[in-house]
Amino acid sequence: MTVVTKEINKFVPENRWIALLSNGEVIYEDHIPGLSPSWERLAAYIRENNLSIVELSGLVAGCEIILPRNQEGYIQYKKVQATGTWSCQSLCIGFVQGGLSKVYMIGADKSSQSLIISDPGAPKTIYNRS
Amino acid sequence: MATTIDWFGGNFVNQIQPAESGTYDTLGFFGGGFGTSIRVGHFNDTSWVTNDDGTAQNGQVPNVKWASATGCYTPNIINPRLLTDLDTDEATLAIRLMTDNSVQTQNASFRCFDRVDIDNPPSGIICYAAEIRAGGSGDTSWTQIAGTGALPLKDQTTPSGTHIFYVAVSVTPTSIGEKRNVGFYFETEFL
Repeated sequence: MTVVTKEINKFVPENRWIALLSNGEVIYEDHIPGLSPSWERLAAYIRENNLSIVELSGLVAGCEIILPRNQEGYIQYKKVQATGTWSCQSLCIGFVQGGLSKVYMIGADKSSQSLIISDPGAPKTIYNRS
Repeated sequence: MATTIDWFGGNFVNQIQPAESGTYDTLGFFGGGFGTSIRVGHFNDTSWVTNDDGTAQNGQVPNVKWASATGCYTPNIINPRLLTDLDTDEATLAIRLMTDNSVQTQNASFRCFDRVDIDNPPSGIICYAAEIRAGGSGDTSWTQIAGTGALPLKDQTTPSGTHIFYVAVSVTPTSIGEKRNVGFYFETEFL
């Protein structure tokens, strides 16, 4: 049975994604040593239990971005950018509709940028049952 | 621990310090020795960890010199070699991504820009880069990189808390004089 985190504990990072599932459970991003990335475990958990993601949100530096409910699929990944002078890490969350996706990049400094791109597909995208 | 990006020579002997450290935060390309110019139309014979104005050095990084579309010169070897013959510790740069948890990387890329905007080309040089991977599985040819014209780096799909990207870099000046408006940029996505 796939391990997912249903409450905030020491493995849940300060900046994180949060998924509300169709059975009412709330799943948090975690960094549990030795386990695969929590987004991949969420995908497996949803398949095993025949669930879907109702809502996905991202929490960065105390600011929360909540995506529209009940989309065809949801996207999550991180992005890091660096030169010798600066580096920036962003949480990227988004949703899929009709093969296109809207992704919000939220920087640790609370900067944000939205992009409309092709659906990146699995493993970044978790699809809901049609 | 936060996610970090660190820049080293490919052999990990010397690190290019973060800029905010104030010293030895620059990769410098020179002719036959530190402080020696590269002639216009020629390529770097040595690569150094240096300061912002190139007046002091803190050791070398492996030098890779453009020889042809698919070949390069490396120190102490007279004949040109195929890029795919290089070991990772012969790459100019090792860019290390460290994360709290095991991740896979996607869509990594490496750019050369003018230190003003990552979309702008560098000023006064032509820059070539190639990804070096173990076992000869890296790039077979150089890519000229300038601003948005980036070098794509292979996805690293084995989950790990440490991912290292090895890049060979070679430059040639298009005019005489010191070139400071040159910077390198790395980005990657990860799950």
